Amino acid sequence: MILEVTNLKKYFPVAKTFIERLFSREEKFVKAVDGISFTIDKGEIFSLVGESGSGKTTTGKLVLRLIDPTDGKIVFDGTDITYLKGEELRKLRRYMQIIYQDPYASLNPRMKVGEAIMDPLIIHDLASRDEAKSMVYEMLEKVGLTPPEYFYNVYPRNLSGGQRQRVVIARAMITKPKFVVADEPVSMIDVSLRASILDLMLKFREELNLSYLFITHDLAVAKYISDKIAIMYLGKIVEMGPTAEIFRNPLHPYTKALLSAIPVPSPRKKKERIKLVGEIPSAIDIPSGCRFHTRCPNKMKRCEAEEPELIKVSKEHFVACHIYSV
Amino acid sequence: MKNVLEVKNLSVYYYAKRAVIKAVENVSFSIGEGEIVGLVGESGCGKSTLASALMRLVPHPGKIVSGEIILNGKNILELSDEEIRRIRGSVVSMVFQDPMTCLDPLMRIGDQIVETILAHTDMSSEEAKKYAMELLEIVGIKRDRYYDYPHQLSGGMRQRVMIAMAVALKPKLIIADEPTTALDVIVQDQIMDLFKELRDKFKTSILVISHDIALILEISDKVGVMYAGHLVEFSSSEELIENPLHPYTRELLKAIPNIEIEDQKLVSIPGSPPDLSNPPPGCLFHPRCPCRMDICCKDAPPKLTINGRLVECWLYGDKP
Amino acid sequence: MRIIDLLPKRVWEKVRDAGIDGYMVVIGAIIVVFFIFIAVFADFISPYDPISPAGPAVTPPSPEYPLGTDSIGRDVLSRLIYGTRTIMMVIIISTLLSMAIGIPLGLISGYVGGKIDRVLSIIMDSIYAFPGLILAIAVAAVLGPGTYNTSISLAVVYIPTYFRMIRGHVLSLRESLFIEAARAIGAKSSRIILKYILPNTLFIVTVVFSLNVADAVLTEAGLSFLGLSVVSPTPDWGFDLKNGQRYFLSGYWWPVTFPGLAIILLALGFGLLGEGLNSILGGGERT
Repeated sequence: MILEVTNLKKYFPVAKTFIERLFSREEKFVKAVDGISFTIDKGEIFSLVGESGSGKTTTGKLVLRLIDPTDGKIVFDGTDITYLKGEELRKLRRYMQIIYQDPYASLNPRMKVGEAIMDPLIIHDLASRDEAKSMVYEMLEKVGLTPPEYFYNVYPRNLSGGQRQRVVIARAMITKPKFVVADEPVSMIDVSLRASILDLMLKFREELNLSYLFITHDLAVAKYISDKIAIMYLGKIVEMGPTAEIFRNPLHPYTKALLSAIPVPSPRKKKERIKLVGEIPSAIDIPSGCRFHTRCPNKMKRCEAEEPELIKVSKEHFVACHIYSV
Repeated sequence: MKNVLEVKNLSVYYYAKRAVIKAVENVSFSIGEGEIVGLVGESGCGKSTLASALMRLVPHPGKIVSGEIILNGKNILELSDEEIRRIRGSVVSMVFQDPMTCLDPLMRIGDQIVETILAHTDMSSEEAKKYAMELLEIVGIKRDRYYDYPHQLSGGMRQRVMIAMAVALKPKLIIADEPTTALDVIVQDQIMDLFKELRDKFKTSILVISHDIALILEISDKVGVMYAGHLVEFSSSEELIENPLHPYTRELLKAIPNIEIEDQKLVSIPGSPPDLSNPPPGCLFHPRCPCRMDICCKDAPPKLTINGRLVECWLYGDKP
Repeated sequence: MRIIDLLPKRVWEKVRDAGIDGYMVVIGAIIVVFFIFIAVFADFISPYDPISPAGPAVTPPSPEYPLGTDSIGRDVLSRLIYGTRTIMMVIIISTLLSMAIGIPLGLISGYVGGKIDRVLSIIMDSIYAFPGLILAIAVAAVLGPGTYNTSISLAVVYIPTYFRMIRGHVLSLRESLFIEAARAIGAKSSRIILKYILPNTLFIVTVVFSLNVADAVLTEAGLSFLGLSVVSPTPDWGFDLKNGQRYFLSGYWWPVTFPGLAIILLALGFGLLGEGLNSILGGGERT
């Protein structure tokens, strides 16, 4: 196991207006992540799937300790990093990296590509300048930015989106991390280039026995790349299991609705769509009981009052829904 | 069937300080009554420029340099400013990607719809208000939300308000430029259903522009594929999926993940779109084309019609 | 190898394409370079020694004394030429000082925040609240005259400007994705400030610099006009201006006019350069 997350929570306080502060003592929170637990094994690609507002990006940042959790436990490669700070945390960062969605914004515009990729090596004192330079050249070749002599000296602004994302990947992989959080890594990349980026990520998984937390709203991409999938809704995991199993046998009504809503490039028009009413509620005002009940086509009385637990339904398949609880 | 829109040899160029960018080059296609046509392409393909040209809203320093845009029988490129202003909203209207930037945050949404109505019709305020409420119902918003402000609505609902405004004057054609890119997949599905409803009920034609190929293929009757300013293929969505003609279309279809295919091997197209200020000679796709021939590197391919399908490629001979 | 090639290519391209702003930058640059040239080559250009009298007092401009002589008979032109050196030195030293103090403080204040930021901001805002010349006078009065002291007086006036501009830019940069990415790689704050933030603030520094310098020219002239700047007989435009004004009403216009024109011209040069650069570069990076 490379990562074990238990009951992780992150609440963001909401700024109150002047009047609210005068008349009410109650604090309001955006419950971005409201108690999730999962594990990721070595060499596993674990996808966190959800719509915007589901809490998946916040989870990614929590797991890397880029933000502090409100509650819960995060154990990385055997070390409890939940409250780790300072130098100790900084040193661990060579083993856990992040790839962001926006390749334009995540690179320092004033740093040449070669310097950017070399930086982690210098920061963590992993190589001398000369050694580092040859390691960067090697890495440039690996990610397909050839000739390396050219790309080493170029600035990010002269590269296309796909090329910049390769630079980001190169920078993330150069310290041979054990775990990488990829937050929508191909959403801003042209469709015709996505496969090459995804395949690059898979290649590194092979080479380094790397684990990924792959965050996306695109179930089709998640299906292509992941071993395990967890579906998030409004800060909680509603279903989790091996990819094939989730697609073959989706249990939670939300999962089923998501799957049926994905556009399929197929000439034959579709199977029945599961229609949901309404829209995602605000994370400040989470519905009582099962937070999905306001939109659920299978809602029962129990769902309005009681929040379902994530229970094991089969070997590795978990779901949080009263339909399946005894 | 009468054509609501006929685009003939349309070219739109941007005149930057040092170069001319041929954002749209010699594009021709048509949209029939009650048809949903999808325009798909990647970054820099020109689809958004084309959309804005159809309303004569190309931003500076862009210019429509040649061609015709025949909307409901009239070539809008020949109309005066006053005439085109009357057409916008009433004959053709547009729905944009980000409704939050298009709606006035300080005005109730119902009033904003009414404003559009009053600007183009002779209705009284009460009639307009009543009509606005009907419109809200048509797009699936409860009437009492007339009095809400944009920030009180979710993204999907705001988009529906935009659609209500677009539909208000019963246009012949609605242009939707990336209408659901910012929305989640379930809401996207609902919006697409709404489009289909509008098409069925009012015989409105819709031009949907998106980079989401699967979405376009699912909802459109006809699909146009754009690359580097050229319309490289245009045909019905079934024919496109079963038998894509242009190599770019073929590769593109292989690049999108399809959840109905087991063990899919996703394909990537090597290289990247050309620099439009300095394009390669011949066919703009040739540097990346797996079917490249000698002639492709030298001469621009002709526009051909094969069984009613448009394609711009040397593979299909040289007889237009 | 044209001088143009020495400039960062992007800056030159922007200038060339910028229309009126481009002209401003070019004209401003020409003026400034002109004065720098004079300052550097003063020994070769100047017809006379600026300190000792070269001829009779207050003679009008003539072929022998192109801009006339002043109250003691020193050649006005020579004094102007050597005066360029004085003002340039003061400007350069004071600017370097302002940057050396204002920029690091702004960086730290903006990035680290917290108490340090609050304390520094209050101090800087207080200094900034003083009108420049008044503050310069106050400091100069304490320090006394002399080139280096004057430089310090001027530096104090402009430190808050550098501080505020840098701090403001750092505050917005700090929220950028690539800064978070740098933290995610494991970079220490010091490295982030030096390698990630500082290089991205340099263009702001250029802008602040060029805007400030015009103001500094005028402030220095003001100080020397009041006799608080350099020690006589060092050639100094403001000083000459003050001396000359006594004779103005008697019809001797040249001891006043030419130093005055020089001050205006230099300030104008820096001003055009600064404003032009500000419009072009500060207009935001557009890809």
